[in-house]
Amino acid sequence: MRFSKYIILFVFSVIIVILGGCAAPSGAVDVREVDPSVSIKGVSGLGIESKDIVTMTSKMVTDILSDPKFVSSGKVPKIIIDDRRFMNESNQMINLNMLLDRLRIELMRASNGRLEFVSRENMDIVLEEKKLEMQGYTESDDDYSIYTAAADYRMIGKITSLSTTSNKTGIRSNYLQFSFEMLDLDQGLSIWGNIYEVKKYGADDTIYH
Amino acid sequence: MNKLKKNSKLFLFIVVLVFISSCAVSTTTTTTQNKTNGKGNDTVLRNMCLGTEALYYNDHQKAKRLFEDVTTSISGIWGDSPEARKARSLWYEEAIKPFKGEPYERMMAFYYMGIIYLQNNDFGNAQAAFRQSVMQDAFAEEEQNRADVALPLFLQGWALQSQGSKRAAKDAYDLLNKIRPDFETPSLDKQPNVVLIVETGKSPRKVPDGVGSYQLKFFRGKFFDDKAVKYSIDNGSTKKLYPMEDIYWQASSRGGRAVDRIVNGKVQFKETTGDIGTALTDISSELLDNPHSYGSGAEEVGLALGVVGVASILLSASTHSAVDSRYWDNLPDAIHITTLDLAPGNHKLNLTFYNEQGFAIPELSRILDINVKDKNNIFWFSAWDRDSKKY
Repeated sequence: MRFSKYIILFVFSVIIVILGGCAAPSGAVDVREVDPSVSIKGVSGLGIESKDIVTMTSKMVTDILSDPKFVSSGKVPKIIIDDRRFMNESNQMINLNMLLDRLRIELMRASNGRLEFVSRENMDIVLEEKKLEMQGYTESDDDYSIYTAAADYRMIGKITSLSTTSNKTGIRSNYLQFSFEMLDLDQGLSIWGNIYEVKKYGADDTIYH
Repeated sequence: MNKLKKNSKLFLFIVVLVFISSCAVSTTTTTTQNKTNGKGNDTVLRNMCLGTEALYYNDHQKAKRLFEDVTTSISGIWGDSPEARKARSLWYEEAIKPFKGEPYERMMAFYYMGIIYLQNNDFGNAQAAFRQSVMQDAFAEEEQNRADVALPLFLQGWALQSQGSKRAAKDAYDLLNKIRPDFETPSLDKQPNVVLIVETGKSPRKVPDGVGSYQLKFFRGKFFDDKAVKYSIDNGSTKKLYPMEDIYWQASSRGGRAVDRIVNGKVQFKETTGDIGTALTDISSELLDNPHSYGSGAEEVGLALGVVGVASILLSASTHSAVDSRYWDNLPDAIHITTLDLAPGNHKLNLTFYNEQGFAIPELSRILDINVKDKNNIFWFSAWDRDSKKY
């Protein structure tokens, strides 16, 4: 009879183990709205994410607006910020407009008229409008000018990266460096610069090694 | 005593039933999730295949969207998850895990992404995609085969040069020269205006091998003859494209995978429990057949050992040691490339494919109209595309 008890206990344990092995969570996550300046645990790679863009542009805005060359020079500097001289030499695929549009618009809003931005990438539609005006199809309330604004500065920059991989542990690390410089378009001097850097590391689950 | 024996047999029968039903459940779950239920397990694989198909049909918008999904997914860190835990457990085969692809497949996903960016004149993102493509090969277990991938290295250099990053382009070309010393890299002072890329053959195959399918083996694709490509422009002289990358080599030269150690552990468990089970049931049979030879209590001991033995055999049978043999089946076997400096305007491009013996394959060969711009013309063709490209 003692053996019978052991057998029942054994069978019961086996059933529990097996049923435990069969249980599978659904894996569904409800849609949630989150602050773009925070990371979401478990949803990230080694590249830049919204948090980095938000932090980086905020840092640049603060730095530029505290520099007397731009805000206390007696005249309102005209700046070009677009992707024409922004080189991506990193391992990250990124829509540069996301970064540069945010930087330009934040600067525009925070400077409150102390900085002006020349939209060189939209020059074609500006010229189209001027052409219509010149041909007499349109009429402006303001004094007519054949000229558009000349820029004083252009933001240039580069994204570079350095990555390492450990074949033993599968850990990958990625260092990203964003360098920004302000080029004086009259003198050709680089009159301001700053660097934003981010380093991340992580490893896939062993089953992907 | 007879009652005990009868009850024990009943328990034994129940144990067998429970194990068999459990095996059926886990097998069904695995099969369904991998192939048909569309819960995301194969999303990356499906998008890889559809993306290539979209390129075949010249649908670049669709291909871009699909490869962006693929590369975003595989760029992420795939940490611990319920599926990952299952794939490591004894009761599920490796293929329960969401598909991320082997390094050669990830390499090719970034390669196609880079081609699409390059064709859209997005040089920064193109070079980033090709850089990522090269990085996927860094996971080769065999050191001499790490980062020996040439094609994305060349295209990375090309994209950097097109972007104006000459110094970085030179670094990429210098690395390329180490692994393909006979390939002439473009001049950094005057970049040619055409890159011609032609893919031949069919995808390397992943084949499970061994008892329980616990070994993953790679084989060259089959049912194709095209091994080499020659081209001519406007009926000019015929030249051979440089065979830059052998995809089968990239698939098969990586060496062992870390996950193979987990699979081997499962195999050992399966064998050990199977051996123990067989030994215990043998002893049990002996005790039950000849109880009087072993003194009092031999029957109870025999029954108990029988139950444990059968349980052990069934544990062995429930262990799934099969490797993940899903693969990207519309990849090429090899990729050929050349750069050209052509006058802007319309040209006739003649592509002729050859088999291993050097005979032309007329059904694959074609004459195409191409329109050449003054810079960055990326002409991509596959021997197996469904529609002749119009550039």
